[in-house]
Amino acid sequence: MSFDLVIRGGTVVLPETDGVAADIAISKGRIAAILAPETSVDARETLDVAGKTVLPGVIDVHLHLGHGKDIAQPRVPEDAATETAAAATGGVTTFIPYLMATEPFESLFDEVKALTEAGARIDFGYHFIISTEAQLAGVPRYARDFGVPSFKIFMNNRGGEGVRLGLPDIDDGFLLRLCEAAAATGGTVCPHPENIEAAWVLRKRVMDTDPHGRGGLRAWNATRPPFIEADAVQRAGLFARETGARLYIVHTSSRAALEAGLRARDAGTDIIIETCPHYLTHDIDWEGGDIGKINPPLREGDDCNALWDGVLAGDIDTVATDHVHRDISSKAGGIWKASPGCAGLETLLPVMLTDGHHGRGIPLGHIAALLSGAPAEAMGLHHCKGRIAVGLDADLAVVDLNRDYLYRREDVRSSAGYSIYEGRRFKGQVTHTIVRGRTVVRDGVLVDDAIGSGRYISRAY
Amino acid sequence: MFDLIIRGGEVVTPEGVVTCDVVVAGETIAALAAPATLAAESARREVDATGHIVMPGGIDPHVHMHHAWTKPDGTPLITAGPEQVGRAALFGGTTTLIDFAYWRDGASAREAVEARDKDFVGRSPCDWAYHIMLHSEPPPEFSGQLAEAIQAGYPTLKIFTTNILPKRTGRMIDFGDIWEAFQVLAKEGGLGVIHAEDNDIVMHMYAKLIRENRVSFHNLAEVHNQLSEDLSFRRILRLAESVPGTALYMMHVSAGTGVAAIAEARTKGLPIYGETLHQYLLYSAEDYKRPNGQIYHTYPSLKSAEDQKALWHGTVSDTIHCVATDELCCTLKDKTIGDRIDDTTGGNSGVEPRLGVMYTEMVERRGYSLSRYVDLVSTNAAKIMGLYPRKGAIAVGSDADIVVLDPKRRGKVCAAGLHETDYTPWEGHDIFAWPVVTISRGKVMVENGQYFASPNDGRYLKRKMSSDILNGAPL
Repeated sequence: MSFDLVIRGGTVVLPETDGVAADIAISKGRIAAILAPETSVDARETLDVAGKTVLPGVIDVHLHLGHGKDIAQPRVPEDAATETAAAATGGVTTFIPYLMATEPFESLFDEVKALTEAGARIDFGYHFIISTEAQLAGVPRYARDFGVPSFKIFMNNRGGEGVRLGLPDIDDGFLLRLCEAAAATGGTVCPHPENIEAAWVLRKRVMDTDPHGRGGLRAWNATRPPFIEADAVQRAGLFARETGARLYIVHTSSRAALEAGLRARDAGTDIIIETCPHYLTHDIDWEGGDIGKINPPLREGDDCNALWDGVLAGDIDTVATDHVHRDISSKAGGIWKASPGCAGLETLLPVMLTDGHHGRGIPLGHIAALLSGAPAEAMGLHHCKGRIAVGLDADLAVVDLNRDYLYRREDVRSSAGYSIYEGRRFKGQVTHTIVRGRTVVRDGVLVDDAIGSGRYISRAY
Repeated sequence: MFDLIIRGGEVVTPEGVVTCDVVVAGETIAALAAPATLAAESARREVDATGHIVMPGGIDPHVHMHHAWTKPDGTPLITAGPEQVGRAALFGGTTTLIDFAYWRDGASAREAVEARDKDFVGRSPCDWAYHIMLHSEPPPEFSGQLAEAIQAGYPTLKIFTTNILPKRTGRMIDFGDIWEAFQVLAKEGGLGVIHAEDNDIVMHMYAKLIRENRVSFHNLAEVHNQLSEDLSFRRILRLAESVPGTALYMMHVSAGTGVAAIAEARTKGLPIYGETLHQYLLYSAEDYKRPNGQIYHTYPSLKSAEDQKALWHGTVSDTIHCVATDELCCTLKDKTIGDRIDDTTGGNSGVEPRLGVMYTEMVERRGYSLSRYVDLVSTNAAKIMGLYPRKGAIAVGSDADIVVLDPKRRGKVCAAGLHETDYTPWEGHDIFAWPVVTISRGKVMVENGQYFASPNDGRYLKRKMSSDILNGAPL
């Protein structure tokens, strides 16, 4: 029998390796064989990747899909089309956006799924953000019937804070019950960790002295400094340990929050720790100013170092983007008015190759674990994705590891139209992206007929 | 055209257990493929492994073949050589054996290897390697020769801290020489493989028991005791710590005190690894009382049930990394010819049933994953001894050393059914899986009880330590 595609001549980052010479044969969207180089087999198509490195496709488990001011959900197929174009360009083959709503998810899930499938070039799942009693009651159903076993909660949504996102208040009792529900279904809780009451006090103080936000990123950080984050991580850790829920700490941005997470781990909490590329590469002194408003805020240089140390030591398990694709007009009006968040899908892998692999000597096997293996494991995708292994989906990112290039605003594929990395040089460029055996990026160029070929992936632990 | 396809087994790969076909071309693994993706006519030969476990060939990193021992009457005993032991190993699914080359009598390290080659070349059906075994009072030029040997592919140095028996001389290395050796190992990327006992405590106990006329071998655990393991492990590990970069492999850990010492060193991030022996995991000093109780003995000695527990815990806590045999294959008569604490024949017979017995005890009785079992009988030894990923992995490009275990092949061990010698310490032990096919570098050596190997098949394996192992990475 003949294979559909054989990828020849590359250095392949197989699990437990930092890259070995091997060929990959693909049939029916799955990895059908790992072959010694130049093994003679029949194939309908051959892709020669000599001199290049083949990584498992990146799995971004933290992003928000939806245009304009509303990041709750995608409203049109173009949301998925533009953002999966950005993803594919950056070697991302699966992503899991957060879906936010006030109604029970049954009432919108099918529509959102269909809308996303219509535009998607890559595979996707959804996490649900649980904010109401009806949604909380739905947790077992969501895990069982929708393949959604991971649930976000905004710990900061109290005292009207959720209004900005159109969400009602919750409290720690609600967090406790979500942890219990997740534990009962074997699911994972993903809290947004902030102590908002303390943040209000600080925000008022800072804004009183700096009403026009001249302090920029430094002022923004001062309104919700690391201990605000660490306090909530610590609380979530205690709740998770008490209830037996698995905890996934999103966007860890500071030394203090990382240390709180590690204390919880030492105390026996089943905790997975994520950071985002911007917390590794940017701090409050970044010259881009208000464009760098993100929540949690960019921190100080010492925090970046602590996070890199955490990555190197294996304390941090995953790196994900927290991608938001609002355009640059959302950053206008000074630091207090600017909208938080930034795009990151297409730069995640280049950042980790440039700053992580080349810059800090992180082996490729570890990079693959941070961006593919561990996220797949954490989010219930390991049965089909996350590694280059026989029988798994043929999701691959082929990179030219030594290609040095300038990343410019005109290169940005996301509808955000700008990037906090524009003007930077990257070393390591994605040349091909393959999703379930389909080539969606070829020689750095998007394959147009890939639109609509992405599929919803049901997840389970 | 491939040479061999092993079809449809549960394959234990470095990334977990996968149902797939393993494809061999020449001496190496050419492909792992989803079941039935490759046509029947694409290979010269097929092995159907449906319903069977496919794993890398076993690696025993601690074996003595064609080894000279002295019987109680002073006559020499030469144990079975690589032809006989290697044949038994292949029948039992082990494809790689690591023995020792004796560095003594003023010979150079290179001469030690060449001398030992005479016992192996053309006589070994298994692939093999040597640890170079240092002897007492090495000449001053030994450190330069050691550096050369490490670079030449002989990176492991055996060191004794005891002469083991009162009448024996020549084994024990003083700590000054060990310190010198460690500096070379650390600088050149070598590994010390250590037989540690506290010579003072052991010799004191010999003298005391002989004085009290309590010389029966039943008392061996009192002589080679937990305190000796505690003191000697801590002393040599502290010495290793004082020479940054010294990596050690602690052989035949037998006591909880030894496990604790290794665990402490690993907590500090030191590159220290532990080995225990098959019978230390399952027999205790109580078993000396059974008929022919010597057959359970290997120096240092069997210990208590508590020590066994600590050893088992070590296998799941990154402390005990390999289960070896300390093979010393001889007849029951020779194994039981001595019966005193100072003349009982050491070593053991076990290379053949090692994989089967450990499957029973690890997978069947203790619920270990197949991956952990394979780590303990093969992969970890390959990693620690500088053979990985050539050996110890079913992965593309690795040597095609492959064993097919049949989990329906159940029964009990009996010496008559083995190919080793006329006794086994595992007589009557339950078996829940047994190797039915053994392949070494692409050649089917054993299939359904038939033996196809020749003494010319084995190759010497030059080795190089990996930086992960030298850095103490978790296994």
